[in-house]
Amino acid sequence: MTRSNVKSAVKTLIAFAVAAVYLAPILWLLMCSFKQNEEIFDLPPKYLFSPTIDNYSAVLGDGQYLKALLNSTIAAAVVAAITVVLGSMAAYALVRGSLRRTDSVKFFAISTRMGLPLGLLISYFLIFKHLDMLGSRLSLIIVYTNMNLGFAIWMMLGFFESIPKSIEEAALVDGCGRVSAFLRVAIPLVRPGLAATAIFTFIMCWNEFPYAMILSDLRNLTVPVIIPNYLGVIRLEWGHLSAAGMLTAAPVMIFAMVIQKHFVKGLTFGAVD
Amino acid sequence: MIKGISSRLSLGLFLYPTLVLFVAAGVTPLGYAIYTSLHKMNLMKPALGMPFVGLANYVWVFTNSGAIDALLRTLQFVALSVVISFILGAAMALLLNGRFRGASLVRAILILPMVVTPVVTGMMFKFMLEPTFGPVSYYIGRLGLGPIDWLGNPNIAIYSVVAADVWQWTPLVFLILLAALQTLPQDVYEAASLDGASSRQLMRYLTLPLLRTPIVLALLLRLMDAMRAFDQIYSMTRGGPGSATEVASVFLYNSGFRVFRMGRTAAFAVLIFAVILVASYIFVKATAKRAAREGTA
Repeated sequence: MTRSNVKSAVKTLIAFAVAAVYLAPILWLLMCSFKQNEEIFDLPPKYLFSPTIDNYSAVLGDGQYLKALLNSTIAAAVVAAITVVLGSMAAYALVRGSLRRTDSVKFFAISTRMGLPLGLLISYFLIFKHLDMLGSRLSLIIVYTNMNLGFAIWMMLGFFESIPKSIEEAALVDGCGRVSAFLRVAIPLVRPGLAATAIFTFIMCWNEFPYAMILSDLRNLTVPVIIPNYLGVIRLEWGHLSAAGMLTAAPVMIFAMVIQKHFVKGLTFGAVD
Repeated sequence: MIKGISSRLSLGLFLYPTLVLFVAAGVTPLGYAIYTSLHKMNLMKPALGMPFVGLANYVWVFTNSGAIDALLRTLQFVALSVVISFILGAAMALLLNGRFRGASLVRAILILPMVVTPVVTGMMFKFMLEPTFGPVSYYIGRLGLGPIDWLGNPNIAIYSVVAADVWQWTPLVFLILLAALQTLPQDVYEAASLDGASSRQLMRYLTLPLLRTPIVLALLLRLMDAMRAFDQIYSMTRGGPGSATEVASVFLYNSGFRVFRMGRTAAFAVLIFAVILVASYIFVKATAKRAAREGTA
């Protein structure tokens, strides 16, 4: 074994040790989600046990969780769709129009996504109350779209910029209007970008908590809002909590893996290519 | 000529839906928050209406001990979380820079903490830190320490919520710095080593200056994320015990939706928002500078 091989092996070892530490809380939750409630309290913690799906069937059998799952899916999917449509239109206009102000779009994107959501929460609450929209699904969809749109535009800018101008110009010369050049030429070329932006937006909406807590009523509660209820005053169901937690986190973990590169690029505002 | 105008027109139209939404759902609520911050408004006493009070709410923020404590606690939370996650992330990036087997798998695993639903993260940490049957308490107890009431002891709870934030966001620092390290020019390092530079000197005179921009970016992103941390803290402690973990975001929530003092809460929110806006602006300027430099290089 050469010296660099040893070095690489040591690095692999360290890397997986770090990764194991990082995964530990998730794995713990996963493990407990397959335990009986009494086994969860066993000390020392048991790592070998006969797994049960009781927790999952209890969570999924309870209408509340499924309803929340449906609400979360609807809100996240609708917002992802609207955001991608509006975001790609705006990004296209910024890239191909003479009005290029990437910096201010970036600023807009960062301030809407980084801005303390709670700063605007009071205003949203009061405004939607005036409009008698408090608790409606629409109120959440509007807020989420605003929260994600700036960012989606910024993400789409990069994808449109990578299309050579000549391709669309050829279409324009052939008598295509701007709109059909956009729909028939540009959009198909950025399809992977649209998918990445949609998934990113979906993840952000799926995970969102404070807006959902204030702006939804009982019929429209999303999953993050009901998760803390498993440790309520009346019930302390760690097993159910674990199962519900895994069910909630699994879809977004899978989505993030699917769009890995774009996800990291998005989270770091392009600092990681 | 006509075609040019019509194309510009339709491209402009493409921007309208976004602008309308931005004004309706972004600018208006911000304006309304400023408006509210200049009025007295208590939702528990709607009969009092909304009298104009000038800057009284802002004065309140700077003179009320609860609000000041929340600001100081935010400073403490942000400083701890940013510094610890930065050190850990930088150490990991330096350690794991270069080729090794399984690198992409490890990188993939490290994305997970950032994407797990933050409320689930909060509950997960609550579980891990549970004083009687939580694994952390158990194993620390085996070492002869404890029992420690991680979330129930007001002196310790703030560190527990910092831990959750650090767990979630250290990978961000790691990924940013790792990506930057991998773009460093290897030949320069080789030349410097040949000239007899020690590894400390390489670090001091090569790595650190070359990584300046990514370091600033990582710190700013961490700063903004830590400032708005809410979900995990709220789901772990709701700001308690007492107000031991009531950072700015939790304070905002509690004073808005538990005490219903909307005017004061709005003033607090506007001030925080201003800070974040400045940080965002610095961030954009920093990235723009980097892009310009890369463009000319």
